[in-house]
Amino acid sequence: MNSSYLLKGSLQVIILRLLEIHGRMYGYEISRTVKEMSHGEFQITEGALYPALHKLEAGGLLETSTELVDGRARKYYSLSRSGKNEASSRVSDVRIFLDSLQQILNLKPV
Amino acid sequence: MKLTHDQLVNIKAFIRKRGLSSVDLQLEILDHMACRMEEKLAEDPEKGFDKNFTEMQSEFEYWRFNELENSFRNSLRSRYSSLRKQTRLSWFRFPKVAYTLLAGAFFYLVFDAFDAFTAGVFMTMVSLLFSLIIISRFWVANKKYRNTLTMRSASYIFLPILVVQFWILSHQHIGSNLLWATAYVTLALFTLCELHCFYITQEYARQSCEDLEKIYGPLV
Repeated sequence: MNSSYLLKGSLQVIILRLLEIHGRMYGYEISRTVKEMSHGEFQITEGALYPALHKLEAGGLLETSTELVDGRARKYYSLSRSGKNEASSRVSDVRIFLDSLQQILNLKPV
Repeated sequence: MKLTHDQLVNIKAFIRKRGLSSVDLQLEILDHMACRMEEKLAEDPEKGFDKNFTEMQSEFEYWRFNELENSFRNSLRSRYSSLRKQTRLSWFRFPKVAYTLLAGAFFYLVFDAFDAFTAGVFMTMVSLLFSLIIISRFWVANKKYRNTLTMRSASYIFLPILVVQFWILSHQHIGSNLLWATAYVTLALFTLCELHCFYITQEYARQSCEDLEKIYGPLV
């Protein structure tokens, strides 16, 4: 399944939701988690992931902290206070959207 | 399987060769590629580092680092812009508003005591003096962390000093009326406020670079 064009519009919501669940995550962990949870169907490319993370950070929705792990600096992302509110709101929007989409897709052609 | 120092150096060299010049961003990408490399080595340890590394290079071949740098730069600029906004607002909040009023009163007295030209020269000299103090204070940090986007994005040009010079050139004939006095005081406060913003942004960038350096070591 080529899901990249569908994934593009949902990437920020996916990131916000994952951070809401896991607390804090680093870039590679996010892409690996999405791949594992979707059984390999969704693959977030690095070229899409990091600009999305930077955009969310610029919008004040994410906070970062850096730690030294195995000889290299690891940047962790977590939700800011406004990010927590935004995550709940966007996830709820997507659920409503998916319900509506489901109803439309389930309609039989006339 | 953890990577050795030399293996990390090899990955870093690959990232640099691909044209990613900012050290602070390199660190994040280095971790990403190192994680991928560790995963590949865990999946197929017998293949060894060199073969897996060649494979990984082709995996990341399509990755455009200039887009990544742009998004990181925009993120930093947005953060600095928000920092400057907070600083500007702080000039109108208690208790700092008292200093703003005092500075305003001081500039009004200068304008009232001298002619507009002398007052304009005074304002320019004060602005230049503060600018020089700030530039010299962060000279070392700007040189030391010139390879980081965090420091590079913290510099910005603001125009009040040019505005003041324009004032001097075009309004030498004006008298000390209330309208000009208000304009003069507003310009003087605006200039000082922007210099304060410049200072805060540079301080934040330097602190961020120093924090990163404490964790990782020299940012070269």
